[in-house]
Amino acid sequence: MKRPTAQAEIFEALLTPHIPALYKTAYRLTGSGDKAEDLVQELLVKLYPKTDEMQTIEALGPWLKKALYRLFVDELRKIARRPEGRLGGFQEEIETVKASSDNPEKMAEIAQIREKLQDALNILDPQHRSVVVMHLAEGYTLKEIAAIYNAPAETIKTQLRRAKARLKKYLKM
Amino acid sequence: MNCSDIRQRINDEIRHDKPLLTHDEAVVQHIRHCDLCRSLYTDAVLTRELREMPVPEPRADFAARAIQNAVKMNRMKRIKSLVGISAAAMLILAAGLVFTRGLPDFAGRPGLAPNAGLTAPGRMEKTVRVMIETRQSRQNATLAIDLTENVALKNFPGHRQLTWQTELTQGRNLLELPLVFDDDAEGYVNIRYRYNGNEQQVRIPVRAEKEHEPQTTITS
Repeated sequence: MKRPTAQAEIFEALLTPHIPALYKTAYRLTGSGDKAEDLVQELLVKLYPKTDEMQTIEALGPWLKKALYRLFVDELRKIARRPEGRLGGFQEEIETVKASSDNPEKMAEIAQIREKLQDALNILDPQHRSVVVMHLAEGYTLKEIAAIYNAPAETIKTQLRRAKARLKKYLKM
Repeated sequence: MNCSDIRQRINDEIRHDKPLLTHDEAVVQHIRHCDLCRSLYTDAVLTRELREMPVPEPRADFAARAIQNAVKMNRMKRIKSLVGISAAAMLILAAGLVFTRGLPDFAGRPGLAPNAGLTAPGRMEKTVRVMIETRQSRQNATLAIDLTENVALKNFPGHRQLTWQTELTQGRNLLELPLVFDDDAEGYVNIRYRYNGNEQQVRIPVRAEKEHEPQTTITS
C-alpha cells in the first residue's frame, strides 16, 4: 500500500491528461455541462482506489472511457429502478419513427444540422443517446456496446436504429 | 450515377474528411430519390457531425478540483472505515464478556493475589477473570478497579476503588478478581487499564444468579 500522498500524486498524474476527453464524452452522454462534471467527478471517486491497477494499463484512455460508460449505464439503471424516475430508454417504444424525412426536397443543410445537433441529442432518452454517442461519435462497435450494457447486440442495434431515425426526423434529414 | 458509385463516394468522402457530396448536383438528385442511399448519406452526415460537435468547456479548474475531491472523498471513506473497525473491536470485547469461558489460570497474575477469606452467610463469591493481552511487555501499566456499593473484592472489604501499577508480560496476562456480594445483589466491576496515555476499560455486570464466572479480554 502506498502512502496516501504518494497515491494522490500518482492518481493526479495519471488522470489529469484524460479529464478533458472524459468530460467531452460525458457532455455528449448527458447533454449538460453540470451533469457531465458530476459524472466525471463520480468516476474519479470510484477510480481512486484503483490507482495501482491503472498504472499497469497500457491504453488508459479507452479503459477510462469504458469505465465512464459503465458508470453512466449504472446511473441510468439506478434511475430506472426508482418508480418516479423511469426513463423512456428502458421502455419499449410503440411509436415507429420513419427512417427519413417525408419530403426529401426539404433535406436540411449541413450547417443547420450542425446548429441543431445538440438539441436533437437532447430529445433522445439517455439510453438511446448513449448508444448513438458510443457508436457514431466514439466509434464503438455494436458488440462492444452490448458488452458494456450487458445486453444482446440485437437490442442495441434496434435502439440505435430508432435513435438515428428520431434524430434524422428532428433534423429534417 | 448508380447506387454503388454513390456509396463509394460516401465512404471515400467520410474517410478523407471531405465536404459531404452537397457540391455534386448529380449525387444530390440521386440521394433525393433513393431511400437506401439517402439513409447511408444521412448516417454519414450524422456520424461526422457528432464527431465534430463542439462541446462547451467545463468550468475553470474543473480537472484540479475533481482530482482533489476524489482524493478527499476517498480519504473520508477510509476514516469512516477505520472508525467502523474500532466500533467492531469494541463489540468483540463486549461479546467476550459473555462467550469467553474456561481460560486457564495465569501463574504470573499481576498485583492481586486472592487470599482465602471468610464469607458471611447470605453472601456469594464469584471470581471475575480478565485477560489482558499485550503485543509486547509493558512496564508500569496501571490497573484500576471501581466497584459498586454492593460488590466487594474478597481481600479488600470496604474498598470501592483500587489502583496499582504492575508489569505485564508479552502475550496474555490473567487478572483474577474474587468478588463477594449479596445473594440478591446486582452490581458491576469496572476495570481500567492505562499505559502510555492510552486507556481501555470494561464494565462487567455482576449478578448473583449467574452460573458461570464471567471472563473478558483486553487487548493492548
